[in-house]
Amino acid sequence: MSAHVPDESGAVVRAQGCTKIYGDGHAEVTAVSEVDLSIGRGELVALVGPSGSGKSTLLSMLGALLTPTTGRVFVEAVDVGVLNERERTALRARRIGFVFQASGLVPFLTAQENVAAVGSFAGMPRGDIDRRTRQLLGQLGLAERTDHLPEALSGGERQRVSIARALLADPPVLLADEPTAHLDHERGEQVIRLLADAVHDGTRAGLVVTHDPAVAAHADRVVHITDGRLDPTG
Amino acid sequence: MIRTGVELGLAELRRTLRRAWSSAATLVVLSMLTLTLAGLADALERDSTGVLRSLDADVVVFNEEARLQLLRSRVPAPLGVSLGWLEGVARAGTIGLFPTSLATGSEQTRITIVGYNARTPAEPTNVVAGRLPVDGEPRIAAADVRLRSRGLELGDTVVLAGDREVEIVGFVEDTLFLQQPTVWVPPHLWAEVRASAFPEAGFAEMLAGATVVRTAVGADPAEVAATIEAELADLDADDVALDDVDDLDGFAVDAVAMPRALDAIPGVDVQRNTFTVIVALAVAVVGVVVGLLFTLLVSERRPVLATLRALGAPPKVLVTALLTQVVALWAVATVGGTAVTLVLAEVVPEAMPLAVRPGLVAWIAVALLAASVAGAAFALRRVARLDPAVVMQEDPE
Repeated sequence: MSAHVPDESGAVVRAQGCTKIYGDGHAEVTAVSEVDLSIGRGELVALVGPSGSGKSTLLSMLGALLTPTTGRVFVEAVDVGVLNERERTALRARRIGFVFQASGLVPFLTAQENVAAVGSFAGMPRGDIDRRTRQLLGQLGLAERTDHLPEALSGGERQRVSIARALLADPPVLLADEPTAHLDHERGEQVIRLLADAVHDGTRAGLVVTHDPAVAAHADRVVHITDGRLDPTG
Repeated sequence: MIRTGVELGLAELRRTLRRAWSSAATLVVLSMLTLTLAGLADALERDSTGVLRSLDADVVVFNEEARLQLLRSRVPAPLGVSLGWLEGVARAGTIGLFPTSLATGSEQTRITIVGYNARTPAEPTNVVAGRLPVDGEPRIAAADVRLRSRGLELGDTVVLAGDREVEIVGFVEDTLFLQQPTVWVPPHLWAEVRASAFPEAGFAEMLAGATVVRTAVGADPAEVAATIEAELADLDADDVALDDVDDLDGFAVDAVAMPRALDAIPGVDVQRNTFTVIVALAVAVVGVVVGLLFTLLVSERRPVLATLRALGAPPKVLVTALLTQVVALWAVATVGGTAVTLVLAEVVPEAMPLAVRPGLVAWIAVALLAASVAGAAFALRRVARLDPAVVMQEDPE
């Protein structure tokens, strides 16, 4: 089966009838059920729902971290379900930028090295990695902090490094999982504005998982999920 | 990608120095222990077998009744000449050993006197000073260089076996027999010493201990040994003109290749087997320790590693990063362990044989590397199979 499927909807990332079931028999748990979701270029979608509603599972499927039990996920018309593990890894490196709840920086790499590592995974030339890393960290106000280890950075700085890392390979999809959960309001606002700007420049589609209305307010569309199902009235 | 993995591994070592050094220190101690045990085993074996290893021979012919024991074996001295005609034999000579004493001034040292045919395969090859005595030279000897530590020098006159003065004209190296230094003399002098110790046996000038053979180029020593045994199956003293060796009528020989003759020296195979087990256990301990260190590291780093996988790091990058650390720790452990063992070898008493030869260090280094990689295999496997979706369930910080 070809991984490339023409997508006339123009969606950059799309879930089509996705269901994710964990376990089997009596231990079977349906985390996400029959979800359809498309996000276009330049669009930031906020995925909102209570704990255990399936937000992270849906984000994991859209980010090629999990394969759906049934249904399909497309990233730029590539059917993620037909890719093998190596191809999914390459897809994540080149086409998906992640921002995690707690930044997920590697504690023994400096801010610059944390960002640059992703460029290596994506196969970018060393010169481009260095240039773009400096450029991104400068744009995000971290030019003076490039040689600092994560432990020497504030929570907001760490999350900005994480955003720089997500944008380094210029991916068409940006996925953020509760990116402001560990930040105060002011720093949270700063981070969500950076994420929104990265999407609204029209180069990529964005999905941010959150339960914070202030974050959702920056989104172009808010999608509610409850018990693994998207709320059609959302 | 490999370069990225190496850089990640080295960065982790550089930035977690306390952990790296404590791990390295543990492995240095274990490496030193392993190398010391191996060095002891090697020195013990070498100091038992030097007398045969120093010869340019690959087959040894014993009297069958001696059961491959050099000290018990008695063969007719002309046997060497007789064997020279056999197919596959390039040259042959005789050698005889006898434990006795050497006196320098008031100091007595236990030694093994070795009577040998000069310019035959029975001659020691590693002369480090002076020269070797030749057949027929009166009262001349070459001594193992270890006797220099007892004050022996070239030109010194010493007393062998209580009453025979000889002049030391040369030193040979690595010729010990059963941990005792050797003194190499012409066959006539060896026979004299033996006769004085066993007067009832009489003076048998035509007697030697064993015959040593250098095989012809391309000949298989084991096959040559079999040929010699077959040819000499029922040797009669008359066949080798032994007018004054009455007790050798009808004797048979045991001819064996050199490795088997070395193993037959008392204690050698038992020592080797015992130390092999101990050294193997020490190497296994290194593997277990490395395995535990890296299993703990991977458990602790699981969220970080999952994050890197989620960000698109192929498993081989993370495996390379871990392997880089394994190899780096192994290198530090090997260099540090070797350095400590070398110092130890210099300070231990002379009675404790400990030798750190480059070949031995290389063997132990390879064994420790294999054990380290094997020990880390479980951790490497966990990294290679890490599910990137873990990143959504665990907090990396």
